[in-house]
Amino acid sequence: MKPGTDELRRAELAIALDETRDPIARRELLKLMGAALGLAGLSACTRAPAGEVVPYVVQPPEVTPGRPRFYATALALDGYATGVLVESHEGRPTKVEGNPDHPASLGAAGVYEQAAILSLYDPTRARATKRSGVVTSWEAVVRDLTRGPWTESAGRGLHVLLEPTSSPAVADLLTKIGERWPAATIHFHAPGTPVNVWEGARIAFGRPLEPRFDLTAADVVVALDSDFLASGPASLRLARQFADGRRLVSKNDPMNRLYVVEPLPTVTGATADHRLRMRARDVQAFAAALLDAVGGRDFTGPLPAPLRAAANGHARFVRAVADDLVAHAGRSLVLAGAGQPPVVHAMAHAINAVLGNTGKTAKMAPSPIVSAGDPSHDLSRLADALDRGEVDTLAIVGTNAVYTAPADRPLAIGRARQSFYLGAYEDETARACTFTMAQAHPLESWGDARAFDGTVSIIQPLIEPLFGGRTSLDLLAVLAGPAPHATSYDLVRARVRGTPGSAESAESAASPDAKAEAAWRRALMRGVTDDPPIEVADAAIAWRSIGEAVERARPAAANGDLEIVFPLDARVHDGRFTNNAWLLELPDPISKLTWTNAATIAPDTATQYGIASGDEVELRAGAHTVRAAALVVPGQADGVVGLSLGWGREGAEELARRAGTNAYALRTSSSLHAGGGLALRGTGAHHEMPITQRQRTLEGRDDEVLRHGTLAELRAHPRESAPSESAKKKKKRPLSLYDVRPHSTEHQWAMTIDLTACTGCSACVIACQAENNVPTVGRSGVLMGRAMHWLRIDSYFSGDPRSPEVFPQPMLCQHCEKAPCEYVCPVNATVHSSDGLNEMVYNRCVGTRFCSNNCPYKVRRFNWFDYHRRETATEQLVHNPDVTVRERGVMEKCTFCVQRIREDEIRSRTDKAARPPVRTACQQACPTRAIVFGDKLDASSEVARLQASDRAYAVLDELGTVPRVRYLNRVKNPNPELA
Amino acid sequence: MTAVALREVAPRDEERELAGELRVLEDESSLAELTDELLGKVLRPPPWMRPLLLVTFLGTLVLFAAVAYTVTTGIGVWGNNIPVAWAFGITNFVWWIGIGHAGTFISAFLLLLEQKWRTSINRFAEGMTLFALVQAALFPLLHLGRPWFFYWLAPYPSTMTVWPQFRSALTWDVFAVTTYFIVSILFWYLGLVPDLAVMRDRAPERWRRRVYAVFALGWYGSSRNWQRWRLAYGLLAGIATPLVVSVHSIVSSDFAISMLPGWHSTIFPPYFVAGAIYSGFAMVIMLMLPARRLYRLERVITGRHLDNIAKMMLVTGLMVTYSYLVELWSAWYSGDKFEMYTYLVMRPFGPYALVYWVVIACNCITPQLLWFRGVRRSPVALWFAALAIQIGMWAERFMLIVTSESHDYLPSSWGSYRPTVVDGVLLFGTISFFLFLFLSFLRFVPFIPISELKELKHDIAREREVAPAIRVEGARHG
Repeated sequence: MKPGTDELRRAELAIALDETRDPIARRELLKLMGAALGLAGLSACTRAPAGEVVPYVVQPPEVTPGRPRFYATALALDGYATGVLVESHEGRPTKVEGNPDHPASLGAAGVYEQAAILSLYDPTRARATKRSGVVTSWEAVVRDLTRGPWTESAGRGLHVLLEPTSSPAVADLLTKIGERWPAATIHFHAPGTPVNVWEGARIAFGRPLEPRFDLTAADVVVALDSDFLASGPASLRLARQFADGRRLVSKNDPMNRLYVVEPLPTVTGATADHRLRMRARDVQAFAAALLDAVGGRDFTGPLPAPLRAAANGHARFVRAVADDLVAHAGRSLVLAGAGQPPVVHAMAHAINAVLGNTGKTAKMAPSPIVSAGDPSHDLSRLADALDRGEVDTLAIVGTNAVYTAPADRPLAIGRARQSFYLGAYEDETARACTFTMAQAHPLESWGDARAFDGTVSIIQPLIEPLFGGRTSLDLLAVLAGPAPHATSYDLVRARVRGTPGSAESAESAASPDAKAEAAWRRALMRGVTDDPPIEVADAAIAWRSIGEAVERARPAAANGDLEIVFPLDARVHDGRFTNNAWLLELPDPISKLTWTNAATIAPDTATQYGIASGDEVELRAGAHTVRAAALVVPGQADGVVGLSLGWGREGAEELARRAGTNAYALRTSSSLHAGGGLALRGTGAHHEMPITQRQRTLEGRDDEVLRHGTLAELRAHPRESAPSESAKKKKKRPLSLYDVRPHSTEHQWAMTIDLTACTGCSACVIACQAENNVPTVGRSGVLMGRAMHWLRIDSYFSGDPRSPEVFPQPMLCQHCEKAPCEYVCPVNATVHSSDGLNEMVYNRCVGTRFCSNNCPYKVRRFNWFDYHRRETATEQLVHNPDVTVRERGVMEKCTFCVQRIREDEIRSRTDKAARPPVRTACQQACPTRAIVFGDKLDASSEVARLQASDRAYAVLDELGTVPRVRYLNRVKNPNPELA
Repeated sequence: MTAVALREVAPRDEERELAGELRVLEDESSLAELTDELLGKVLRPPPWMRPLLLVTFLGTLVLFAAVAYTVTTGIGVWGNNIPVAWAFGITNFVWWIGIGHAGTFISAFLLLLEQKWRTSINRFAEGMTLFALVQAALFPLLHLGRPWFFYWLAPYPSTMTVWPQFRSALTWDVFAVTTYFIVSILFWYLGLVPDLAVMRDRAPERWRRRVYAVFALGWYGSSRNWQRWRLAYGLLAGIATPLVVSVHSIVSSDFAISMLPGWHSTIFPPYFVAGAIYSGFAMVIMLMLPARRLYRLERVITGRHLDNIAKMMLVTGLMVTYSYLVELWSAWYSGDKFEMYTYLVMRPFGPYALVYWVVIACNCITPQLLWFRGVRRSPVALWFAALAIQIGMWAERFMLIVTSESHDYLPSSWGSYRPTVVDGVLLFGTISFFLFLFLSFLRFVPFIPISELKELKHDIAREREVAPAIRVEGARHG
């Protein structure tokens, strides 16, 4: 047999996998499933993944068919890990949930983590090793990768470009590569790398530290262009802590206060008690003014007035914020966003130091990211090396750098003699490289990663690589040492077992090997290893350095040009998720835009330029021009155009291609986050915008739909801040033709949603979609008003359209006790259960849609087409087997996760031990614990307590539907001085 | 000729004519001539019949293609969405059902009220009813998500031991429409029997005689035949008459029992019935006037008929206008912000404002022209007025359904509706199908009730003899 033939065959088989009509391919797939079943045995975590692929004949004792198992792993974004638990049905992962033991998750999961499961089964993922487009083998890659003139010169000419990583295993390999090839160059690149955070810390503390925030100790929070509640490595944790600070169980509970200064409206801005919109470049003026106002000049020296000039118009706001901060010295916090220049971070550190917050609400610690603060995070070094022809062999690992490189410094990959790309998709970078290799999905890989605080998690596979992918460890191991190359499993396991760790005394008697093994197992079980988190640094603030930096800072030009801001997209991040249908169809938390991005623009600026939503505009910055559809967004700063990153893809990804506008084409190395000098003109073309919610004001229906008020109002008039006039007038329920009382059963299910805690982050939307097999309908479906989300986040603007308050409101089936949908169904397809659920009987539904017409909440969703029929066999694997996949022509809607309720009931018959209460998918994912589900009859349950709260109300109460979902009104805590 | 005829009319008719009324029959020929003439319309089809049948048949094929496409692909090929889950389909359904009403109204209601002028046009109107019902019945079936399970709406002892939900108006709809269809078809057919017998006797070809013989049910014109026939016809008229009121009342409860602002209204049943008769009469005008002209039926369908139908349209138009006003008033008087929004903001000024004002112009303003006798008696003016009313009534149903759904309680779920090509094809396809059926009816069936017309002629003649005596008696008492 010729060498490599076997590999070629395997590569081809991987390609054939998706040929679902081919019975042989299907058998292969079943084999892989079998392998996954074998892997399910890994909860015992004693075996390496089986090399053989055979279905099991004897069922592993720990697998009960029909009962899912959960495995702890972690997903990293821009290098920072979030611990997750993955639900696996007979070896088939179906859902990602948060790991309560992980510091970055605390049990919650964000949209990216949860949507990862869909990417796992993405049939357009790269699935072969190719050389110039021709299928080849991994061995061939290894052979070519380890050859070249650089092997003679200690690695000179070898360049490795990685995604920023916190993986200890990767760090070990990089060290080894460094030892073996001292002249090789390592680069890191991701658009979301917090370089400015590190540089800001370098100014303030002399080294590239990262702040670690503790919002539980903060009463007053000021966010300077920082979307800390929805993005960033610790956002789930911060959102939880922030919400805990405004839980308002009773009216006299303390409540924190949040001020936000930002150019584009964000989830954090929407949650703020006071929000000031300003250009991104003016935020530094605000920071300077604030530093000045809290008395910073006593430490840093005088702050130049021109620097503060742009904030002069907001003197009253600055004064009030400063007073509030000073009044809460030691219990306040100022955060700066990663997009703000280092000097703003430095000034934020300075304010915190002046107020005595440093070390309390903001602790400084070294970054978990490998080489944080190092120039290796600057992609222009690689661009320069390529331009100079110094690169012989370039290995790009998991970062789509060709796409995400700044427009003025494109990577001339063709100038390298050979280039290797390990990527999840055949994307823009794959097209530029000589060799492309399929990268295994994180749920198919062994690896490890650190959380924001350095806690190490094991990344363990849930399934054999579906498309034969390799991990970054596999590739780096090739460079790190001679063959045979260690597998990623060996690397990870060896490192964890080798760690001394904080071994518990109970095990001290055991042999070192047994202890190491126990540590390894424990790490896999808990999802975090025994490695201690990175210690908080004892950092002293360098006032002089801050003073100098402030001195050097150039005040923002006050000319009337437009500013362009490039935020990371709330749905596709930097573009890596642009082929994930769940995320593409997830409405943007503020604009409710799906399937595309847009040049967002403030209402006044739009009027000034004669632009309306949907108009195509040409954006020109320097030599770079792009065309984008404009979208008028209330709350955006005047004179700012926002264009989120990650769209306008040109790779082989089916969904991502040509959706939206590529912001990278406009983004230069001097304007990575924001830049001035933008010219905008309408082209006259018009696009329809796929927006899920077109009406954004409450039309005076606040009392019926979304009650809101201030803390002062709540304390003064507890009942009236939740102005339930109708409740006061009508103590009695209106008379009803059909007086249906719920049967007295053991449980009566109910839910409360705390609008004060809800940030609108949309994690629950994806959780619901994943749990309940909710289909996506595509851009055209959204345009026609057919989005299928069972749980949607309504978002209303209130007040001045230039700077409105934003009220998010999760809306789902209200499970009305007197449900209007039930009596109009001619075939009894929607009925009430004895435990208070409004049930949908898919098999009985004929699809008259009368129920939807009669639903005042419009939460019912109709299968206009057979949405699931188009799915390939691979895509179907994502479905939750506990939930029916609906066919066309039937209505569907939120079920309160009835499959979980029934499963718990069944289990309660055999297992009398106390179990954690049933939780719905949305509740589980919610970072702020705004959603509470439970048994209303159980007086001790949280839901019963909350439903009795002064703040609880029913949406559209006067219709007499008696919903089981109650909302707690949205209370804000504005500063009386700013009233 | 006219002068002679004038002198010959009975005094009562004379009085009417003095008051501006026309005669219901201007025919002076013998009964046999009348039979020959009316039969001739069927036995010797006019030359335009064949191409018109062909064109409408092609339109029907397009309709069937659209139906097949909808059923195989999914209801998603329509423009419906959430919140506008019902749109063209239900609009068309209500519109066609409404059109059907005039037929029953003319044949049954007016029969019971002994209105002579109904005779010439009743079969015509009944045919129209049936064919409109066929179109109407198509939509509730098609608009189901899973039309192959339509029979689940019917109460039958299924193995699933599930009955329909009797609280739902859609279940009532099934009963109402089915009953209406069965009674209409019986009524129409029963009226046809004597004329089918005539066709059987007079058709030139043997095979046609055979076919007509089957449908004539062995009618031989004995007085016993006539006596039984009269009895049955009267009974069916008695059964059909309440249906005129009940069917559209129940169709209206598809909306009225819901809690949607704009649908949730107790005025709907009478308002819908009035609207149905309104559009039904408009449709009679639209079909009758061209037929009258092309078949040269001016002596049978006289100015009197036009005048009476126009007056009916005026009356029902005023009732519909009144309903609109009451709706607006009660929305305002309720003080309910959702109702007020739908009636006072959304409809007149919202995204579908154009539809609203078309409705007002067509349904409320157009009938005011019918106050003028000249308009009532001018076929051309009347035809265009009827067209406007027909458009207006379709638009009214569209406005009612779509405006209410698209902007309901939660502003977040507000949406809009745009019809797709398939929606349009289904609307125009059913119009084609309707015309095809109607032309086939003109082609193969005596569309003017020959026997009833002869009876009418006889009655009029007798009235002339008897009436003077009554008049004399009346004068004595006076």
